Amino acid sequence: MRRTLREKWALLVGPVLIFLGWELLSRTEVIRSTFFPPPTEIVSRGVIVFDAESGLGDDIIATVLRILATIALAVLIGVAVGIAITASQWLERGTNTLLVFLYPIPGVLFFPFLTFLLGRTEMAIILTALVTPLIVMVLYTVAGVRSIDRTLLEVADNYGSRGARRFFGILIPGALPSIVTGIRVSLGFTLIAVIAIEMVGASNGLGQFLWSSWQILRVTDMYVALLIIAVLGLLSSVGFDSVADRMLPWRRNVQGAQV
Amino acid sequence: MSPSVRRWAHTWTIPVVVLVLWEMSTRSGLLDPRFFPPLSDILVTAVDELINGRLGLDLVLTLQRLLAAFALAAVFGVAIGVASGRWRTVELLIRPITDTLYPLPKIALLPLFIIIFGRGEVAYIVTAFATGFFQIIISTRGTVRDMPTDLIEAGRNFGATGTRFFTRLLFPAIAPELLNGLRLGMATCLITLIAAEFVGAEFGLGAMIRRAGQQFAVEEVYAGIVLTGLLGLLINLAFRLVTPLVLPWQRQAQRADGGQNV
Amino acid sequence: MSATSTPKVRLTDVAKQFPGREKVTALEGISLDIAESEFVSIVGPSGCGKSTLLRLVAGLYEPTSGTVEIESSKPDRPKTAMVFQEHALFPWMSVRENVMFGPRNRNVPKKEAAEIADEQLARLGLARFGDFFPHQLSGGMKQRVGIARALAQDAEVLLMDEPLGALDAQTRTLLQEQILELRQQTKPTVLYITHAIDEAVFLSDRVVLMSARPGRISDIIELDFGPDRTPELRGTPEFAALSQDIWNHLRDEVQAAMAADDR
Repeated sequence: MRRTLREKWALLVGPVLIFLGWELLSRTEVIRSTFFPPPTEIVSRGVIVFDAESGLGDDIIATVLRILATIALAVLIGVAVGIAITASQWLERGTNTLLVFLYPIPGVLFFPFLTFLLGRTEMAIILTALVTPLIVMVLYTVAGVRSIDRTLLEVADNYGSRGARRFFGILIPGALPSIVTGIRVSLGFTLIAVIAIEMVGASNGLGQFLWSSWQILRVTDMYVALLIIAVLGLLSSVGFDSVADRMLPWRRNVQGAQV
Repeated sequence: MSPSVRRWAHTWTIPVVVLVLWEMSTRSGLLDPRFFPPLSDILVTAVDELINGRLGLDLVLTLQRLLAAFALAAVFGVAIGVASGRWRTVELLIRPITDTLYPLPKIALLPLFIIIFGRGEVAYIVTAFATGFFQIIISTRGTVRDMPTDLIEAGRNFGATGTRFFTRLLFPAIAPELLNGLRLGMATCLITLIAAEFVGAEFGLGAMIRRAGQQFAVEEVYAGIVLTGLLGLLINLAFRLVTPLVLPWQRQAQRADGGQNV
Repeated sequence: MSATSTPKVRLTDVAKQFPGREKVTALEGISLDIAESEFVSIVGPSGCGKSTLLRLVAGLYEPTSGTVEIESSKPDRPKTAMVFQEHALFPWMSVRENVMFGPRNRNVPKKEAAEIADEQLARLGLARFGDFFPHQLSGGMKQRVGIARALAQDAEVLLMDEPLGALDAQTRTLLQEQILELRQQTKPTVLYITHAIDEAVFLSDRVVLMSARPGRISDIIELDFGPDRTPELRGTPEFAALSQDIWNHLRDEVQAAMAADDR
């Protein structure tokens, strides 16, 4: 989106005001600095990321790896299952009912169950985090295939496209805009799930760091963790969007499902 | 088979088959009943807990928190969302804040909120509120911005200015999408609330599931999960019922395209 | 048209019903022969089943009763190649890849298929645009790509479903002339659907008139302008007279169709 210079400046006003306001109010104790440490303090504390002793750097890596593993599985399995489902109305409508029921259940609720089965392992964490993103990928993939212009499918039939060629040459590219939107949404859910699980049941990771900082009331450390999580969140939304738009220039506003 | 019967069959066959297979394979021991309790046991446990146990209390608490969180999120979210969609200055001001905070998992804010608000109800309500709040702002401002300009110009031309612009033109025009955004907002409030309760609360549906998990009470864990799902369904149902009342001019030409609105 | 040899396309008493709460009879009692290199247009009111008919010939639908036969001149030659009204190019493929689509599906090697594609694109005046993507093209250009794609198939029969319907009048006129040229170059067998009577008269050897739903053939008009006609044909009095004549035949059917829409 082309922005005028004026508009660009306007965007900065809000954050700057908040930053300055917060700094001022906190330093003068108008708001309790124990609850709301001044931003400068938070930022300077942020260097512990590079401090081997705090382990925060390792926590960040652990969280990111979990997110990547989960989203990769969600996409691979979800897209494959999603496209397979569209072959039959029975499958499509039936699984839709199940998935729509399961969707609003926070993935972290499945953690106890998966620890029963697998113990407190990395696998249990990833499988738990996988639940909601997987559902989302299947739903968006199905919607994506459904959104393919009927004419294109008729062309495919008339010109003899079948089997793997049809799958990889028509169905996947056609469903791709919706699938990409699905990945974006799934990334958000993955982040939520991983952090939540780390808060309750992991030995490392940003969520775990947040939790232990809380236990020992290191509020500034908590804010550092939150800041980093927010950055991860931004990367997975805004960052993802700019990459996606570049890769799919024909990405019309095909909204197979709603966000 | 007529089309509507066929549709119905498509929708419900597989879920019913899954439920039946579950019951059969857990009863026969094919699936280990320690990890996969039979459906009937889950149901019995749920009912038992409701009558004799704390489940009723937990549910009521969760519902109260949900309604409080949603009410706040709806009122403030719509207000700010409309302002943001209508006036560019407002949008530019708050956009960096909303776009940064929206992708942040609000569950991560729970510990902070507990420090600030103590261990009472407020922390959980605020956490759930936060999720719904940003969600509703974003969906509302998108809806307002997408209002067809022709409609606005026509309305203005026929005298809908000032407050009338909002009551006679804007809100009726965005009402269907607004309602849908509210439905999604309430659903996300629920998800965050249950997760927050699971992570840190003593009472509430989410808390009950955690407690049950710690005691290896498998049936109760499942019962809790199922109830959460049912609450989600309830929200959708409630909105589906309310919509024709609020939007009488919308013919129910909308089929139940479940997965299209997630 | 005498049928001294077997017709290229033969429809015998074809009917098509669509199931549903109320069964819809789209077509009834359609019998039609199309000879090789003949250009036959179908005109009729909206909803009369023209598109259904085309899809029956394409094999996309099965007739409820009756038969559709297409004569094969070569064993592996595709029976039909369709040209659609719009949204028919794959947005993720380049122009050349779109035109190569048919041959590639028959496992023609990439290089050969690309050559075929470029040949057809050149024929449609689009030689420079092979690497472009559909979203970069105008409506007229996209339709020409669609025609090039159909020609690349080298099918027995060319089926065109209102190919010029979504274009503005000037582009439409130009493309009509291009189609005429193509006719003279490659002499395909064509079944062509259009709403525009003048278009049908301009391009065809015969015009089939259909009735409102349920679609039946209400009349067949023979045109003897011959395959070597020129665009000047449009200015002739015979052209105007024929067009008017066909419209007179059609007017009642169109009104009947409009009345049926006021349910």
